[in-house]
Amino acid sequence: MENSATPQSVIAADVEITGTIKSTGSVRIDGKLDGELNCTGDAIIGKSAVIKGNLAVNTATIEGTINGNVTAKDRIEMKSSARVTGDIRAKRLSVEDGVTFIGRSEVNPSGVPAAASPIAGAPVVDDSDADKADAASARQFVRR
Amino acid sequence: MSKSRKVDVVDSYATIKAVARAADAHPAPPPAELRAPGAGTTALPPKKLIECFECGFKFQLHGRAANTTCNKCRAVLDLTDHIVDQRWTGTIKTGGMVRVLPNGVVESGTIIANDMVLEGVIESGNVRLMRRLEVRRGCRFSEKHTKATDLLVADGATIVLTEPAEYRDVELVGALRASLKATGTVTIHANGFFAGHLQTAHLTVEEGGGLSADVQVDLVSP
Repeated sequence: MENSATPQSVIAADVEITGTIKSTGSVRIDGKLDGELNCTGDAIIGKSAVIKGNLAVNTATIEGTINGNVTAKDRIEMKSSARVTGDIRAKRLSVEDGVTFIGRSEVNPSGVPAAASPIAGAPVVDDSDADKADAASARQFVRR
Repeated sequence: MSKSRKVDVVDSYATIKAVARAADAHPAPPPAELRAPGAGTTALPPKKLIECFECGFKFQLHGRAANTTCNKCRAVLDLTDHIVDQRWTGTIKTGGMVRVLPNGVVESGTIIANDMVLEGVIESGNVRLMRRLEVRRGCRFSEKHTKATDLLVADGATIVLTEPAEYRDVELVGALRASLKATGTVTIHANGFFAGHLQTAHLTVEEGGGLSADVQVDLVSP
C-alpha cells in the first residue's frame, strides 16, 4: 500500500544533479540541485539541500537553501532552517521564526486585496466616520 | 516487641528500603485536576515594566499602584489608565494605558503612555508610547505625530502607512500596507495580511496569513 507521506523520489545528501527534474509524484531533496524542479506532487527540501533554480510544485516544505523562485499551487512551508533567495508564490504560506528570506512574496489566502493605495501627503490610516465631539476632556480611571 | 528500623550499615539495600518507607509515609499529591484551584502555588503580585517618561529609566513594579516614583530621577509617575472619548487638547503623561475611543480626537498636546488602544483619531500633537500601539478598525493617525515601540493591527483593521515606518515588534491580525522595517519580530496571524515592503530580523507567518510584499528577512540587515 502506498504511503502518501513518504516521498516517492529521494535525492540523497551525497547526490548532485545538474539539470531539470520532472516528477509526477512527490520528491525529497537532500542533495544539490543546479537546475529546475517541476513536480506535480509535494516537494520536501531537506536541511542539507542546496538548490540553484526555480521550483514549481504542489506544496513545498523548505528546510534547506534555495536560490531561485518557488511557485506552489497550494502551500509553502518554510521551516526555521530555511534560506530562500528568490520570489515565492502560493495560496497559503507558513513561516517559522528563524528563516532567511530575501525576495518577493505573493500569498493571499483569503483573496482580500491589499489595502487601498496610499494617499500622498496624507499619512493617515484607514477611513473613519467617527463623530467628533466639541468639548475637550479625558475621562480617567484607575484599574483595580 | 516492636521491630526496630535502625540500620547498622548504610548500603544500597538500606537506602532503597528507606526510600520505600518515605514514599509510604508521604503519598504522592493528588493529580492536578483534583486539586483546588491555586492550591500548591504561590500567588505572586503582578509585575509591570515601567519606563520613566522623564529620564527613560526602566524598572519593574510589583503589584498595582496608581502612581510610583522613578528609582533614578525620583519623578512621580502616574500609572493610571486614561480614556479619550471627545476632542482632546492637553497633556497626559502616564505609565498606564491610553484608550482613544471612536469618538475621541487628539487635536493637539502631548500624550506619553506605555500603551495605547486607538479607535479614534490622532490629528496632531505629540504621541509617544513606550510600548505598544494597538490600532483598531476605524482609527486614523499621523505617523509624524505618533511614535511607538511595537505595533499591533487588530482584527478587522485595514491600515495604510504612507511613510516608511520603523517598529520593534509588529503583530498583524488585520491588514497592513506599509514600507516597514522591524528590528524585532513580525508576526502575521491567521487572518493577518501584509503588503508593501518588509525588512525584518524575524518573520513568523501563521497558516492562513497573507504576505504580498518585497521581503527581506535577515538577521543581519536590520
